[in-house]
Amino acid sequence: MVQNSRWPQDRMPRPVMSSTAGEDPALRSLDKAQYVYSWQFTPSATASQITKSWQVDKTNNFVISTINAMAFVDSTQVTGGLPGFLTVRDNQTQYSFIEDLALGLINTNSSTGPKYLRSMWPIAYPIGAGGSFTAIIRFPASTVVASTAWLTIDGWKDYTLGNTGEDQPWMA
Amino acid sequence: MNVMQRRMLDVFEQRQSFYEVLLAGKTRKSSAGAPLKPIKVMSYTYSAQFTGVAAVALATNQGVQDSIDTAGNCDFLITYMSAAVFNNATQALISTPYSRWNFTDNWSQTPMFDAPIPVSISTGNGGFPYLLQDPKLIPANTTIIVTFYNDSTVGPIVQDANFAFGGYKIYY
Repeated sequence: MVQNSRWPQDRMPRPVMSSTAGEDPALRSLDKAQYVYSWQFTPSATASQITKSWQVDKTNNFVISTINAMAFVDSTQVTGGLPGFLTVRDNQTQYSFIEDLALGLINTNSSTGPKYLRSMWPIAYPIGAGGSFTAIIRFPASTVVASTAWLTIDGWKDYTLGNTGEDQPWMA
Repeated sequence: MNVMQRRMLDVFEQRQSFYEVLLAGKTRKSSAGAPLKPIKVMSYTYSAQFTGVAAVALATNQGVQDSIDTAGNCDFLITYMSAAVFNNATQALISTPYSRWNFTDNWSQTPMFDAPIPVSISTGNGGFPYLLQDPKLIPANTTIIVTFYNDSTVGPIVQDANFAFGGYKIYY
Protein backbone atom coordinates (compact mmCIF):
# COMPACT_ATOMS: atom_id res chain seq x y z
CA MET A 1 0.00 0.00 0.00
CA VAL A 2 1.11 3.56 0.51
CA GLN A 3 4.71 3.89 1.60
CA ASN A 4 6.37 7.03 2.83
CA SER A 5 9.96 7.26 3.93
CA ARG A 6 9.07 9.77 6.62
CA TRP A 7 7.36 7.04 8.56
CA PRO A 8 9.67 4.13 9.45
CA GLN A 9 8.01 0.77 9.17
CA ASP A 10 6.86 -1.66 11.80
CA ARG A 11 7.75 0.28 14.89
CA MET A 12 4.38 -0.02 16.51
CA PRO A 13 2.78 -3.28 17.61
CA ARG A 14 -0.43 -3.77 15.76
CA PRO A 15 -3.68 -4.20 17.62
CA VAL A 16 -4.52 -7.87 17.77
CA MET A 17 -7.99 -9.28 18.10
CA SER A 18 -8.63 -12.05 20.54
CA SER A 19 -8.47 -15.39 18.79
CA THR A 20 -9.79 -18.80 19.53
CA ALA A 21 -7.46 -21.58 20.61
CA GLY A 22 -5.19 -22.84 17.91
CA GLU A 23 -5.34 -19.79 15.73
CA ASP A 24 -2.36 -17.71 14.88
CA PRO A 25 -3.12 -14.30 16.40
CA ALA A 26 -1.07 -12.62 13.69
CA LEU A 27 -3.63 -13.77 11.17
CA ARG A 28 -6.25 -11.78 12.95
CA SER A 29 -4.35 -8.58 13.46
CA LEU A 30 -6.21 -5.46 12.51
CA ASP A 31 -3.86 -3.25 10.58
CA LYS A 32 -6.38 -1.16 8.68
CA ALA A 33 -9.89 0.05 9.34
CA GLN A 34 -12.09 1.81 6.85
CA TYR A 35 -13.37 5.15 8.11
CA VAL A 36 -15.18 8.23 6.83
CA TYR A 37 -14.86 11.83 7.95
CA SER A 38 -17.87 13.96 7.06
CA TRP A 39 -18.93 17.60 6.94
CA GLN A 40 -22.47 18.92 6.80
CA PHE A 41 -22.40 22.45 5.44
CA THR A 42 -24.53 25.15 3.84
CA PRO A 43 -23.57 26.44 0.39
CA SER A 44 -23.44 30.21 0.40
CA ALA A 45 -23.33 32.98 -2.13
CA THR A 46 -22.08 35.48 0.39
CA ALA A 47 -19.27 33.67 2.18
CA SER A 48 -16.20 33.67 0.00
CA GLN A 49 -15.09 30.39 1.49
CA ILE A 50 -15.76 28.03 4.37
CA THR A 51 -13.36 25.60 6.02
CA LYS A 52 -13.44 22.45 8.11
CA SER A 53 -10.51 20.68 9.75
CA TRP A 54 -10.19 17.15 11.06
CA GLN A 55 -7.66 15.85 13.58
CA VAL A 56 -6.22 12.40 12.90
CA ASP A 57 -5.75 9.98 15.82
CA LYS A 58 -2.26 9.68 17.27
CA THR A 59 -2.47 5.90 16.98
CA ASN A 60 -2.85 5.69 13.23
CA ASN A 61 -2.36 7.45 9.97
CA PHE A 62 -5.41 8.18 7.87
CA VAL A 63 -5.13 7.29 4.20
CA ILE A 64 -7.59 9.20 2.04
CA SER A 65 -8.94 7.23 -0.91
CA THR A 66 -12.24 8.78 -1.93
CA ILE A 67 -14.06 12.10 -1.70
CA ASN A 68 -17.78 12.55 -2.36
CA ALA A 69 -20.21 15.43 -2.10
CA MET A 70 -23.94 15.96 -2.49
CA ALA A 71 -26.61 18.53 -1.73
CA PHE A 72 -30.33 18.59 -1.05
CA VAL A 73 -32.45 21.65 -1.83
CA ASP A 74 -34.06 22.71 1.45
CA SER A 75 -37.50 23.50 0.03
CA THR A 76 -37.97 20.17 -1.73
CA GLN A 77 -35.46 17.85 -0.05
CA VAL A 78 -34.50 16.49 -3.43
CA THR A 79 -30.94 16.54 -4.67
CA GLY A 80 -29.61 19.58 -6.44
CA GLY A 81 -26.54 21.15 -7.88
CA LEU A 82 -23.56 21.95 -5.74
CA PRO A 83 -21.60 25.04 -6.72
CA GLY A 84 -18.16 25.55 -5.24
CA PHE A 85 -14.55 24.56 -5.55
CA LEU A 86 -12.75 22.27 -3.14
CA THR A 87 -9.20 22.37 -1.82
CA VAL A 88 -7.95 19.77 0.67
CA ARG A 89 -4.72 20.52 2.51
CA ASP A 90 -2.46 18.35 4.64
CA ASN A 91 -1.68 20.73 7.50
CA GLN A 92 1.54 18.99 8.44
CA THR A 93 3.14 19.27 5.03
CA GLN A 94 1.06 22.25 3.88
CA TYR A 95 0.58 20.30 0.66
CA SER A 96 -2.81 20.62 -1.00
CA PHE A 97 -3.46 17.35 -2.76
CA ILE A 98 -6.74 18.64 -4.17
CA GLU A 99 -6.74 22.21 -5.39
CA ASP A 100 -9.81 24.14 -6.51
CA LEU A 101 -11.67 21.07 -7.74
CA ALA A 102 -15.23 21.81 -8.90
CA LEU A 103 -17.59 20.05 -6.51
CA GLY A 104 -19.77 19.11 -9.44
CA LEU A 105 -17.09 16.63 -10.43
CA ILE A 106 -17.56 14.62 -7.25
CA ASN A 107 -21.28 15.23 -6.76
CA THR A 108 -23.02 11.91 -6.14
CA ASN A 109 -26.51 13.14 -6.92
CA SER A 110 -27.03 10.79 -9.81
CA SER A 111 -29.35 7.98 -8.87
CA THR A 112 -27.28 5.22 -10.37
CA GLY A 113 -23.82 6.66 -10.90
CA PRO A 114 -21.10 4.36 -9.63
CA LYS A 115 -19.39 6.96 -7.55
CA TYR A 116 -16.18 5.01 -7.32
CA LEU A 117 -15.54 5.86 -10.96
CA ARG A 118 -15.79 9.54 -10.20
CA SER A 119 -13.85 10.09 -7.09
CA MET A 120 -11.79 7.10 -6.03
CA TRP A 121 -8.23 7.60 -7.12
CA PRO A 122 -5.67 4.82 -7.29
CA ILE A 123 -2.91 6.47 -5.29
CA ALA A 124 -4.27 7.31 -1.87
CA TYR A 125 -2.94 10.19 0.20
CA PRO A 126 -1.75 9.53 3.78
CA ILE A 127 -2.26 12.03 6.59
CA GLY A 128 0.27 11.41 9.36
CA ALA A 129 -0.74 10.22 12.82
CA GLY A 130 -1.64 13.13 15.04
CA GLY A 131 -1.75 15.44 12.05
CA SER A 132 -4.71 17.21 10.61
CA PHE A 133 -6.21 18.11 7.28
CA THR A 134 -8.47 20.90 6.15
CA ALA A 135 -11.14 21.16 3.49
CA ILE A 136 -11.68 24.60 2.01
CA ILE A 137 -14.69 25.30 -0.21
CA ARG A 138 -14.69 28.46 -2.29
CA PHE A 139 -18.03 29.59 -3.63
CA PRO A 140 -18.52 31.40 -6.92
CA ALA A 141 -20.15 34.79 -6.77
CA SER A 142 -23.56 33.69 -7.98
CA THR A 143 -26.99 32.91 -6.64
CA VAL A 144 -27.07 29.76 -4.56
CA VAL A 145 -30.27 27.84 -3.88
CA ALA A 146 -30.80 27.28 -0.15
CA SER A 147 -29.63 23.76 0.44
CA THR A 148 -27.95 21.40 2.87
CA ALA A 149 -24.82 19.68 1.65
CA TRP A 150 -22.39 17.03 2.75
CA LEU A 151 -18.78 16.31 1.96
CA THR A 152 -17.33 12.94 2.89
CA ILE A 153 -13.65 12.05 2.96
CA ASP A 154 -13.29 8.28 2.89
CA GLY A 155 -10.25 6.20 3.55
CA TRP A 156 -8.77 3.96 6.18
CA LYS A 157 -7.07 4.27 9.51
CA ASP A 158 -3.72 2.63 8.94
CA TYR A 159 -1.82 1.16 11.84
CA THR A 160 0.98 -0.22 9.70
CA LEU A 161 2.85 2.83 8.48
CA GLY A 162 5.12 2.79 11.46
CA ASN A 163 3.88 5.58 13.64
CA THR A 164 5.28 5.12 17.10
CA GLY A 165 2.37 6.36 19.13
CA GLU A 166 4.74 9.01 20.42
CA ASP A 167 4.30 12.67 19.72
CA GLN A 168 5.47 13.66 16.29
CA PRO A 169 7.17 17.01 15.65
CA TRP A 170 4.04 18.50 14.17
CA MET A 171 1.95 17.61 17.24
CA ALA A 172 3.63 20.26 19.40
CA MET B 1 -15.78 -10.43 -16.82
CA ASN B 2 -17.90 -7.30 -16.50
CA VAL B 3 -16.85 -3.90 -15.24
CA MET B 4 -17.99 -4.60 -11.71
CA GLN B 5 -16.08 -7.88 -11.48
CA ARG B 6 -13.00 -6.18 -12.85
CA ARG B 7 -13.33 -3.45 -10.24
CA MET B 8 -13.74 -5.98 -7.45
CA LEU B 9 -10.54 -7.65 -8.54
CA ASP B 10 -8.81 -4.30 -8.51
CA VAL B 11 -9.90 -3.81 -4.94
CA PHE B 12 -8.57 -7.19 -3.88
CA GLU B 13 -5.28 -6.63 -5.63
CA GLN B 14 -4.88 -3.52 -3.52
CA ARG B 15 -5.92 -5.30 -0.35
CA GLN B 16 -2.51 -6.39 0.78
CA SER B 17 -3.55 -7.75 4.14
CA PHE B 18 -6.29 -9.87 2.58
CA TYR B 19 -3.68 -11.66 0.56
CA GLU B 20 -1.50 -11.96 3.62
CA VAL B 21 -4.30 -13.85 5.33
CA LEU B 22 -4.78 -16.15 2.37
CA LEU B 23 -1.08 -16.78 1.97
CA ALA B 24 -0.62 -17.41 5.66
CA GLY B 25 -3.46 -19.88 5.59
CA LYS B 26 -1.64 -21.96 3.05
CA THR B 27 1.43 -22.36 5.20
CA ARG B 28 0.39 -22.30 8.84
CA LYS B 29 -0.25 -25.36 10.95
CA SER B 30 -3.23 -26.27 13.04
CA SER B 31 -3.13 -26.10 16.82
CA ALA B 32 -2.06 -29.71 16.98
CA GLY B 33 0.93 -28.99 14.78
CA ALA B 34 -0.33 -30.76 11.68
CA PRO B 35 -1.74 -31.03 9.14
CA LEU B 36 -1.93 -27.77 7.24
CA LYS B 37 -5.28 -26.06 7.55
CA PRO B 38 -6.28 -23.92 4.56
CA ILE B 39 -8.49 -20.89 4.94
CA LYS B 40 -11.84 -21.09 3.19
CA VAL B 41 -13.49 -18.01 1.73
CA MET B 42 -17.19 -17.87 0.84
CA SER B 43 -19.19 -15.03 -0.65
CA TYR B 44 -21.97 -13.75 1.59
CA THR B 45 -24.21 -10.75 2.22
CA TYR B 46 -25.58 -9.53 5.51
CA SER B 47 -28.55 -7.19 5.41
CA ALA B 48 -30.59 -4.87 7.60
CA GLN B 49 -34.21 -3.87 7.05
CA PHE B 50 -36.31 -0.93 8.20
CA THR B 51 -40.04 -0.63 7.58
CA GLY B 52 -42.38 2.33 8.04
CA VAL B 53 -39.85 4.77 9.41
CA ALA B 54 -41.49 8.14 10.03
CA ALA B 55 -39.70 11.36 9.15
CA VAL B 56 -37.96 13.36 11.85
CA ALA B 57 -36.40 16.78 11.32
CA LEU B 58 -32.73 16.69 10.42
CA ALA B 59 -31.83 18.90 13.36
CA THR B 60 -33.43 16.43 15.76
CA ASN B 61 -30.96 13.78 14.61
CA GLN B 62 -33.11 10.86 15.74
CA GLY B 63 -32.65 7.46 14.13
CA VAL B 64 -33.98 3.93 14.41
CA GLN B 65 -31.80 0.86 14.74
CA ASP B 66 -31.55 -2.67 13.40
CA SER B 67 -28.89 -5.16 14.37
CA ILE B 68 -27.16 -8.01 12.57
CA ASP B 69 -25.53 -10.88 14.45
CA THR B 70 -22.63 -12.24 12.41
CA ALA B 71 -21.83 -15.95 12.33
CA GLY B 72 -19.76 -17.29 15.18
CA ASN B 73 -17.54 -19.57 13.14
CA CYS B 74 -16.04 -17.13 10.64
CA ASP B 75 -14.88 -13.58 10.21
CA PHE B 76 -16.58 -11.38 7.64
CA LEU B 77 -14.86 -9.01 5.25
CA ILE B 78 -17.13 -6.23 3.94
CA THR B 79 -16.12 -5.32 0.39
CA TYR B 80 -19.15 -3.30 -0.66
CA MET B 81 -22.21 -1.58 0.77
CA SER B 82 -25.50 -0.96 -0.96
CA ALA B 83 -28.89 0.41 -0.05
CA ALA B 84 -32.40 0.78 -1.41
CA VAL B 85 -34.89 3.18 0.12
CA PHE B 86 -38.60 3.04 -0.73
CA ASN B 87 -41.67 5.20 -0.20
CA ASN B 88 -43.63 3.11 2.29
CA ALA B 89 -46.99 4.20 0.88
CA THR B 90 -46.29 3.58 -2.81
CA GLN B 91 -43.35 1.15 -2.59
CA ALA B 92 -41.61 3.29 -5.21
CA LEU B 93 -37.84 3.40 -5.09
CA ILE B 94 -36.43 6.72 -3.91
CA SER B 95 -33.21 7.04 -5.82
CA THR B 96 -31.64 9.75 -3.69
CA PRO B 97 -33.56 9.74 -0.40
CA TYR B 98 -33.29 12.56 2.08
CA SER B 99 -32.13 10.23 4.80
CA ARG B 100 -28.91 9.36 6.55
CA TRP B 101 -27.33 6.33 8.19
CA ASN B 102 -24.39 5.07 10.16
CA PHE B 103 -23.28 1.71 11.52
CA THR B 104 -20.97 0.35 14.12
CA ASP B 105 -20.10 -3.05 15.55
CA ASN B 106 -19.78 -4.16 19.11
CA TRP B 107 -16.20 -5.30 18.60
CA SER B 108 -14.55 -2.12 17.37
CA GLN B 109 -17.25 0.12 18.86
CA THR B 110 -16.19 2.67 16.26
CA PRO B 111 -18.84 4.09 13.96
CA MET B 112 -18.07 3.75 10.26
CA PHE B 113 -18.70 7.47 9.76
CA ASP B 114 -17.81 10.21 12.22
CA ALA B 115 -21.43 11.40 11.95
CA PRO B 116 -24.54 10.11 10.14
CA ILE B 117 -24.27 10.89 6.42
CA PRO B 118 -26.68 10.67 3.48
CA VAL B 119 -27.48 7.16 2.34
CA SER B 120 -26.75 8.01 -1.29
CA ILE B 121 -23.33 9.42 -0.61
CA SER B 122 -22.07 6.26 1.02
CA THR B 123 -23.87 3.23 -0.30
CA GLY B 124 -24.39 3.45 -4.01
CA ASN B 125 -27.78 2.31 -5.19
CA GLY B 126 -28.86 -1.26 -5.80
CA GLY B 127 -26.78 -2.62 -8.64
CA PHE B 128 -24.21 0.11 -8.21
CA PRO B 129 -22.88 -0.56 -4.73
CA TYR B 130 -20.25 1.47 -2.96
CA LEU B 131 -16.99 -0.45 -3.07
CA LEU B 132 -14.68 -0.10 -0.11
CA GLN B 133 -11.18 0.43 -1.36
CA ASP B 134 -9.98 -1.13 1.87
CA PRO B 135 -12.45 -3.83 2.93
CA LYS B 136 -13.68 -3.67 6.52
CA LEU B 137 -13.12 -6.67 8.76
CA ILE B 138 -15.92 -7.77 11.10
CA PRO B 139 -14.82 -10.51 13.53
CA ALA B 140 -16.87 -13.62 14.17
CA ASN B 141 -19.72 -13.41 16.63
CA THR B 142 -20.12 -9.66 16.36
CA THR B 143 -23.24 -7.54 16.23
CA ILE B 144 -23.43 -4.88 13.53
CA ILE B 145 -25.76 -2.08 14.58
CA VAL B 146 -27.24 -0.03 11.73
CA THR B 147 -28.93 3.30 12.46
CA PHE B 148 -31.24 4.88 9.89
CA TYR B 149 -32.45 8.49 9.94
CA ASN B 150 -35.44 9.49 7.82
CA ASP B 151 -35.08 13.26 7.46
CA SER B 152 -37.68 13.78 4.70
CA THR B 153 -40.06 16.12 6.50
CA VAL B 154 -41.19 17.77 3.26
CA GLY B 155 -44.14 15.64 2.29
CA PRO B 156 -43.39 13.96 4.64
CA ILE B 157 -42.44 10.56 3.31
CA VAL B 158 -42.55 7.42 5.45
CA GLN B 159 -39.64 5.30 4.28
CA ASP B 160 -38.64 1.66 4.09
CA ALA B 161 -34.92 0.97 3.82
CA ASN B 162 -32.74 -2.01 3.07
CA PHE B 163 -29.00 -2.10 3.58
CA ALA B 164 -26.65 -4.80 2.35
CA PHE B 165 -23.09 -5.56 3.40
CA GLY B 166 -21.54 -7.73 0.73
CA GLY B 167 -18.27 -9.54 1.08
CA TYR B 168 -16.64 -12.75 2.19
CA LYS B 169 -16.94 -15.09 5.10
CA ILE B 170 -13.47 -16.29 6.07
CA TYR B 171 -13.27 -19.68 7.76
CA TYR B 172 -10.02 -20.47 9.58
